[in-house]
Amino acid sequence: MISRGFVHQAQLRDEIDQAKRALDPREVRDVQFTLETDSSGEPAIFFSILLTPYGSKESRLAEVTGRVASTLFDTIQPYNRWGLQSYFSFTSDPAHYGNPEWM
Amino acid sequence: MALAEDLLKQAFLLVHKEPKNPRQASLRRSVSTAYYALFHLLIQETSANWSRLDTRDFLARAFDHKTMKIASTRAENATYDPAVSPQVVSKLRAVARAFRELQHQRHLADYSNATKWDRVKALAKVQQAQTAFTDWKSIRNEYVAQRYLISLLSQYKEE
Repeated sequence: MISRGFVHQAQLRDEIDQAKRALDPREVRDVQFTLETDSSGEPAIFFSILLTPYGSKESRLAEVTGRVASTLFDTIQPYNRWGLQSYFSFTSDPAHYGNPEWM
Repeated sequence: MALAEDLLKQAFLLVHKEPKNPRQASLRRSVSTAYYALFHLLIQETSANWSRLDTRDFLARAFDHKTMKIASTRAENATYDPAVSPQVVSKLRAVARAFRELQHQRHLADYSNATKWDRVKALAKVQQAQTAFTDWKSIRNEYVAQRYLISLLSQYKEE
């Protein structure tokens, strides 16, 4: 199944770019992803999402992160269409966001 | 449900333990604890269906993390009967996703010194567990939710 993800990486990137446009720019500054395996060895897509200070305020963090993950998941359908488990990590710190060890 | 609820509270205490400069140990333990909160919630909910009170704790020991992940992946991505309320399906998918995601994050939090955590990243995961608790309580008596509980215990096929 992982080969599907690699063969169509350009298409996957296009779909993610489209899905990103559905996110609220007041809440989300950027989305990036990597393709790796998860802790049980399954092919996976790891999304990292850079939130705005507004989007990451503790009182609305759960609602924002749930909605962002659902939007990306529902649009891309990583498992059913790409054979990839999906994982979502959020930060509001650009320094962490740019650090591969943060993901 | 006391253990699961207590673990969730503990996860929040840990993620807020150092208000200004959170230690990696606190953040990592908060994520790990959030996973175990949801793990125990689902086990306790399944075991509660076992009528023999004096053997429930033994049934609880029969659960396996890998089987639960497989079941959660299936529940998250399944096609449900259109007669099932979309709100119920959405909450069940969210619970299953939270379990599957938190299991992976728990693994990183417990074992990966290379993975760095910040408070937003950890808090988002702890809150995901909290939302899963809330979602679960509102669907726990639904048929599809009870089927999910059974699937957590065994790799039976739906077909």
